[in-house]
Amino acid sequence: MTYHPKSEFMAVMMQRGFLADCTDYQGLDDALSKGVTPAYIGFDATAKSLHVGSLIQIMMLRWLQKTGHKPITLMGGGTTKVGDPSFRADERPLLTDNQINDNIAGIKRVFENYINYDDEPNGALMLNNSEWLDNLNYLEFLRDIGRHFSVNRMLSFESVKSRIDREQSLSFLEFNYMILQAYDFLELNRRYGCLFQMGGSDQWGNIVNGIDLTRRVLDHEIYGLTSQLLTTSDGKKNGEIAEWRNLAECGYVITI
Amino acid sequence: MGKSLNGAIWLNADMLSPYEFWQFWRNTTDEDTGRFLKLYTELPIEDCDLLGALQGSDINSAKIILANEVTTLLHGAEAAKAAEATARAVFENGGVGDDLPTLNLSTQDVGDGISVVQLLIKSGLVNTGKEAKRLIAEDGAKLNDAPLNDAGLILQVSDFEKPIKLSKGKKKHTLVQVT
Repeated sequence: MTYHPKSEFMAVMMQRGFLADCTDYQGLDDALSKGVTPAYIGFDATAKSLHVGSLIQIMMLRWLQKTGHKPITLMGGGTTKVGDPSFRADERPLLTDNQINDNIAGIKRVFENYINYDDEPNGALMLNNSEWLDNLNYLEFLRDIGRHFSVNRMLSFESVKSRIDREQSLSFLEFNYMILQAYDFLELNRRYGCLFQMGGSDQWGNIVNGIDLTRRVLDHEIYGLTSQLLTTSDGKKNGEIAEWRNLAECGYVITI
Repeated sequence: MGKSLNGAIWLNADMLSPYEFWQFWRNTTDEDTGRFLKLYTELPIEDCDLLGALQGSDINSAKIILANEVTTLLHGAEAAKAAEATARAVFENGGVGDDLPTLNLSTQDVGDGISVVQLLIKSGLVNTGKEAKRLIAEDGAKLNDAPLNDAGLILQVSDFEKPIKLSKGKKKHTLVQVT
C-alpha cells in the first residue's frame, strides 16, 4: 500500500493499523478532503450489549467524528428479524420485536460514550433500519431492488456457499439478508447522503453489494472501507478472546 | 460475530463489570500490546510504539496503561481507577506476586448463600470439608487477607461485588468471583 492519503481520517486509519481494504482509496480520500462526510456502520441487535469484537468499529466511528466527519450508527432493527447467516453453521433463533427493541436500548447506551449525537454539522446520527424495512411492499421491492441481484452470484458468496456445501439448510429468509443490507446502504445514501460504509473485513461482500445496488438505482458513487478482522497473536479472532472467562475457569492464570 | 454465547467480553457494565473488562485488557499478550494501544486508545502513535516495545516485566506497565485507557473510554475515568485499585488490592497487597488462579461462580452456584467450607473445596485449596474445617480451626485460612475463623460463615451473591481472595497459609491463594 503506497497510497499517501490527503485526508486526516484516512491517514489515521492507515497509521493506527485499522485499515484492511477500501473499494477506492483515492475516490474516498478526495471526498473526505472536501468536507463533512457521513459514513455508517451497521450493528445487529442480537444481544443486549455489543461485545469487545465491535470495539474496533466503534473506535473507527470515533476517529471519523474527531477528524470532522459524520458517524451514523445504524441499528439493525429490521435486519435482525431476518438474521445474518454469515459464519453461522445454523440458523439464528428468531427474536421477537420486544427482544429486539430491548437489545437496541441496551446497545445504544454504549455509543454515547464514544461519539456525540449533537446538532453540530458532524453530530452523529442514530438510525434504525426498521425505518425503511418494516413497511416494504414486497412486489415493489422485488421489482425495484430484487431485479438487480443475480441469484447465481449470490450463491457464490461464502456465507451462502458454506451452508450449501455442507448441505445445511439456508432458509429463504436468511438468504435475503444480504439484499436487505445492500438496500440499507442505498437508503442511507438516498435519505442521509451517506457516502461510505465501514465494517470488518468479513463484511466486504455485503458492502460491495450495497455500492453496486446504489450505482444501479441512484447512479451515485459510494465507497466501502473495511477494518482488519482482529486476531490476537495467538491466533484467535477478537470476538473469541471473549472466551477469557472460560479459560480462567480452566485454571488459566490471570496476572496484573 | 456470533461469539457471544458464553463468557463474552460485553461492553455494557450490567453484563460485565468494569473490573472484569479492565482485567481483560490487562491480560493482553506482550505481542499484541503495541497494536492494541494504537487501535483501542487515542495515545499518540509514538507512545504506543514505545510502550509496545517494552520488554520483560516492564511491558506490564504498558498493559496497565492500555487497560486504563480503554476502560476510561467505555466506563469513565473513575471506573478505570477503581478497577486498577481493585486489581492492585487483590494481587499486590497480599504479596501474591504475579499470578492467581481464579474460580468463577455463577449466581446459581451461590444460590441463597455458599459456605466458606464449600468455597475452599471448590477453589481446590482443600479436598474435603473436614480438611477445610481443620484449616480454619488451625488459623490457616484467610479471606481477603484477614483471618478466617468462622467455619460456619455463609457468603451471599452481594458479597462478591468485588472478587474475593481466599488463602491457605501464606502461599496458596485463589480469587473467587461471581460472573
